[in-house]
Amino acid sequence: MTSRDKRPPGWVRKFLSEFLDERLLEGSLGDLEEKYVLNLERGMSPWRADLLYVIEALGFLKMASTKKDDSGSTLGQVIHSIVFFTRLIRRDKSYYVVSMFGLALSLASFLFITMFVVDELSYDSIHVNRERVFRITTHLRISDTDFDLATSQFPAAQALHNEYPEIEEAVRLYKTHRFIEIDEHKFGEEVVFADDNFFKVFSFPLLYGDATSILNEPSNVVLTRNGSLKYFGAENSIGKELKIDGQSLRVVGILENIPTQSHFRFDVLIPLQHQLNVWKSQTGIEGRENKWFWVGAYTYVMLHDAGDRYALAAKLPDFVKKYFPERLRGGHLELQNLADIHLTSHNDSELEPNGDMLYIKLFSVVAIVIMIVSSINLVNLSYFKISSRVKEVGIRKFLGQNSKRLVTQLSIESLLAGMISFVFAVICCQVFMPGFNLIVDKNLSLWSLSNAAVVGFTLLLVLVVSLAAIARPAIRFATRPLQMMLVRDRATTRFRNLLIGLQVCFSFVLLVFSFIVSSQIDFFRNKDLGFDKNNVVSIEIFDNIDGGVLKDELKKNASVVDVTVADAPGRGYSGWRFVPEGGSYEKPIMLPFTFTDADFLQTMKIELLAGRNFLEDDADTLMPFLINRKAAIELGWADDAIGRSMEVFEPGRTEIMAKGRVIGIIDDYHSESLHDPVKPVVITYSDYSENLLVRVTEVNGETIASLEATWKKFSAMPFRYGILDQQLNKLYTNEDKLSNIVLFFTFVALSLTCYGLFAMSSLLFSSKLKEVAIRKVFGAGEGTIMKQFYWGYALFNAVALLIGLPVAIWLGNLWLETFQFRIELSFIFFVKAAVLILLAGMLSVSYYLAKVAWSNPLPFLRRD
Amino acid sequence: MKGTNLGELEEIVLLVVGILFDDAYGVAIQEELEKRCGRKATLSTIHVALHRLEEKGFLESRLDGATNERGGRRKLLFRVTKAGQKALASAREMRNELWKAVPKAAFNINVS
Repeated sequence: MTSRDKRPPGWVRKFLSEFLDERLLEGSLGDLEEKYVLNLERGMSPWRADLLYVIEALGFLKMASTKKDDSGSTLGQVIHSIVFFTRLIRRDKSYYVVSMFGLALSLASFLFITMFVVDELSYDSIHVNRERVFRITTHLRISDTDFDLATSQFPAAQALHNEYPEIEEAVRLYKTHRFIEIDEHKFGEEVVFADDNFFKVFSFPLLYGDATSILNEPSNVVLTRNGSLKYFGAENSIGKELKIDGQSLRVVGILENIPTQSHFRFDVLIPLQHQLNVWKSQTGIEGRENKWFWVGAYTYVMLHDAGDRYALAAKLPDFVKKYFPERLRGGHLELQNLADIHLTSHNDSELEPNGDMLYIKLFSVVAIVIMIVSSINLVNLSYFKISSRVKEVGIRKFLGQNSKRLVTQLSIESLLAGMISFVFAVICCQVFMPGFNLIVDKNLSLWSLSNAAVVGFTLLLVLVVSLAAIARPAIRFATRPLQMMLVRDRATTRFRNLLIGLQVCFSFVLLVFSFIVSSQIDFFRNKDLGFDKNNVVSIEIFDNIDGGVLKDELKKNASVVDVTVADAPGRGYSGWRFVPEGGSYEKPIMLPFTFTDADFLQTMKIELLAGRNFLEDDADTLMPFLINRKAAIELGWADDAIGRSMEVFEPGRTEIMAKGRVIGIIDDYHSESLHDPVKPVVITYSDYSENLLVRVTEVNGETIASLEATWKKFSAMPFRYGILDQQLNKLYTNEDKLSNIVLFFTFVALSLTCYGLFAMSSLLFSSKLKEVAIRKVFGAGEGTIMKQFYWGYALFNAVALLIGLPVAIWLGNLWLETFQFRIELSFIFFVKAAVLILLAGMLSVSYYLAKVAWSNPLPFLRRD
Repeated sequence: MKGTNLGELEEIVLLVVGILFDDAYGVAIQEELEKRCGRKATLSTIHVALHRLEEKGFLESRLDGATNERGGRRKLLFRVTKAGQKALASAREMRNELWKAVPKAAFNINVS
């Protein structure tokens, strides 16, 4: 390309033509272009030449005033407007500062929420093939119990690939806990195992290594940048070795850190073949990975064409019939698009806690409501402000300013105010970002690429809102004849009242909703779970430690009250099949089954309703069962369960594991989160489990340290423990987050509404000075006047609240319906919210109201 | 008409317009200024100076001489007027007078 072909940016010409007179324009544009060509010929890079061209061109704005134009130049007007605006601000500081602050507050809120929503919506967007990658989820119905699993069977991937040509790739993931050994150091980690075609399907960027081959050898391992830094202290640790399961693996690839917006995350990626080999060596050739009983792998298929999705889904029932063992044939498979997993998938054993579309919608509504509330403020206030400038506008018109220039003048002022607010908002966001990240448990930044768009959009929004705010009054004043401007029209008052009512209505709905959310969370925290969750430490047992011995040692600790060998309640127990006496083998009953020792009931403070607890010698007789009330009912033995026998089948096996007898009935307790109803439970005796529950006098650093000291006597491995009530609270993280966010933004919306009322009252009442003065002259006291205004105000609000009521009820129910155990919508919420809004509103208007009521009537009557 | 004294840049620009005689326009003046005085000025700076000089009556301008390099646009060409010549001459004279008035000993340099 020769320098002749390159043209300078064209917009400059149009821009300059706005400001310069024709002669100068011709000359200067010619000069600029000649210089531009000259620069290119002298070897300047095109972008530098462009830049220089623009800079040089902007220099000509200095000469803008020479444009011969009777109506005055645009630039001149802009400068005039800015100067005039600074004078306005100086004259009425409090009004402008407060109104800009209000807009800034709502903009900041809008920015925060939008960033959150954009972040949630951007999950898994780095994968180039995301449109045609689907996860296979398994949905089983066993003995009248539904299981929705994010996983599928290990052989499913290969079988699907063989069966259906529309599948291009099928890849399996398996995620588990492993210890990684490097020299003497041991790290407990969640690691991901994957088939060798992993990188064909997922597009995690590799920093070092070759994506096509790195997962080929079972002795390979891929780390993320963070992983590499953590284990080897260097970003590039290619060729180094680490040990897993006693086998050496060589680092062959380094990945860029997995983005937070991914529905699965890991630092260590190992070829699945490694895990398969380990299983094979443990169980012989018939490793469990070949079994169609075990639903343990995450299977992703990549289709040649995303459009085949529905055709493939229609064929899956045949697949289930052909491959699934008879017992599981009642189930079905589903396809989940990769991009939808984070927000729409709520199956068991998800890879990471997922988000929720409901919350995304809710937050979006909140953001929009806040923007509407503050726009209403802006519209109302600018109407008043502009009305109060009737005289100025009149003079301007009288002096011959045409309506176009008047509108421009007002627009520029409004845009300036909007821009200043926007800058405030961005500063505000930057300052409070760490706090917001803490609340929503994310790592957001204003300056990331995706958020740059959000910021840009918000700026655009500000400009639109600023212009919209003045559109009505500006056009009205600019186009009307002078004498008409002083006439008040009823339509405007009605419009304004409607807007204020809308604000009150929105605030009311938000307030009710935040009351509902926070009391639902309180309900979770304080609900009687059927056991005492306080002061219990859960200790994970591994590294071949005998739980019984550890338990005896722990009991010697002074701060330990009770110890039991048992799994921690909260995550639920796996379902086993039971055949009660007289029942049919064709129709076993699926019941959650767990193993504990005799101290479980005492440690967890679960009540024994009938029969007896385990005895130490029970292990010798028929297998003893403790069942809860719910299980007794499901088995059909509500009244006479004690002494009945059942046979139990291990998951995935067809032969009977044991026959046992019910020895006692215990009270129901929540073995899973309160999102679900109480589950039936069958407990049998065992002093072997992978977990200990320790009731201590008080959970604090000291007790934990002393427990850890005891652990260290048995193992060099790290002490892995959890505090039960904290673990249980984690089940409600989503609701907790929601509650924080809703509370915060309710506060924002409410204060915006109050601020709007406050500012309105100052303007509204000053227009009522004369009315009040006349009333006072005729003998009305301050109290009477106040009462009258309050009464009108309260009546007006009552209407707004009545309109908000059904919306609040609908929204509250929509959310509450997602919980099995929930609070009832009580009228207290509505009363509380209504009273609060009325009070806050009255307080907001009181200052100016009082000022008006107590004003001296004389000056206002004397004036005319 | 504004004041008739010459600013420093104005004086140089006026001289350069004289040097270029019949081909004095923005880019040419800019190039000449850099070549002869080692002085960098933006096009707009030069145009501002030219505009002022024209207002003072020291320059006259016409539009002429379109070339391809300029996207077919005509040049805004300047020529020094009689008043301009007088102003330059009087500026020079004034400067000479001032130089003469400085005692040799005050500046320890050779002016020749």
